[in-house]
Amino acid sequence: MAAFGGSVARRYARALFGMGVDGGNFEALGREIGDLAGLWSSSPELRQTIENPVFKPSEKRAILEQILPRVTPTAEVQRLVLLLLERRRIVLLPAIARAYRDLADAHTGRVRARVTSAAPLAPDALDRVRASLERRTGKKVILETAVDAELIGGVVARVGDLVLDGSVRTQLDDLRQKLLN
Amino acid sequence: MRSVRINRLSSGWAVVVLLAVVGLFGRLAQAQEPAHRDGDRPRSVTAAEEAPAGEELPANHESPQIHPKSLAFQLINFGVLLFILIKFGGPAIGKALAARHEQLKAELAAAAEARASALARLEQQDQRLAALEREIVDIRGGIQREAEAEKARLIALAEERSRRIREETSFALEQQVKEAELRLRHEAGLAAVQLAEQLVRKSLDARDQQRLVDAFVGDVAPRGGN
Repeated sequence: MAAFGGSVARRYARALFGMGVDGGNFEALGREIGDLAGLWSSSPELRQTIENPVFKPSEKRAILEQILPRVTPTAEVQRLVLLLLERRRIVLLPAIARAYRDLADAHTGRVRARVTSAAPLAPDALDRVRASLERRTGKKVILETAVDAELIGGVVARVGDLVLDGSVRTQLDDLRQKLLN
Repeated sequence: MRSVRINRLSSGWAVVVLLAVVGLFGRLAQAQEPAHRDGDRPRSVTAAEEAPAGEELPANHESPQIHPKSLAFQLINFGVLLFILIKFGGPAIGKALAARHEQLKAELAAAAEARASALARLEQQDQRLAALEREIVDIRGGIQREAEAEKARLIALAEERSRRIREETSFALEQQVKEAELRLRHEAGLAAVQLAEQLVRKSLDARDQQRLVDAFVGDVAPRGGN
């Protein structure tokens, strides 16, 4: 079901991305669909309202028509959301946003790197990490940061299938394995 | 042996017949005697009867007389008896005696043979007794040799078993020592890592974090070309 949902989400994303490329505003469309997906994920009230069968589709549509202009000014994105509501596929919004992001990254030669550290990194440190990853991959890197105290210290960066682990936790695990073997 | 017994029986019957004949002649002789007794003996009997009780007979008392007729009858009787005995009992007696003789000869021969056999057995037993000592010595020596061999075998077996037990024990001990070493190393490793983690957690500060980020950047960057 998730694979089927992912496939459907990619079809919607490709359609919107094509319109964005044609219109030359695929980056803006990407930001807007991303913001909408964030709003959908972070607002349980919105999800419960839209998914509640008590409300009529016309009422749900009226609610979204009130909200959408405030979040996304682009007509293509508004129409896509209303289409998803009509076809009862509004729950695919986050997956569509991720697929759109992947399409945009592939189109512009960008890669996303998830950088996890034991403590929040300073901006200059993030810049140096990004620069090193860009040199490593040869592509523009967009960082997504996360904090995990279990790492104790250091940084773990995941770029696609590539994992670069410089955490103290991993070094301690290696040390433990060496001692045990 | 059976024929000898039959001969004896026939001889016995012959003797019985002879005795019957002799008895018959004896009766005949007695039948003729009373006439003489009645004429001669009464006198002496009368004299004895006439003598008072407790008195001795007179010195001129007559001794019994031999009557020739009676003697002749008795002699004839004896002769007839002798003849009958010789005629009828002789062969049987001779045959019985011969059989007895043969039997005694056979028994003597058997006894001699038995004696010879006994002597031979005695000699054999003597020889066997003489050999028995050597046999006992040989048997004792054999038993001793077998006991020595068995002892040596048991000792070798015990030594082999002991060696095997020592080897197995040594191997088991080595394995246990290895296991203990591994377990100790494992526990020491875990303890060391835990201690190191605690120390790192306590001592790690922002500057160390910065150094770690720099080290990460340094490790990642070279691939991209510097």
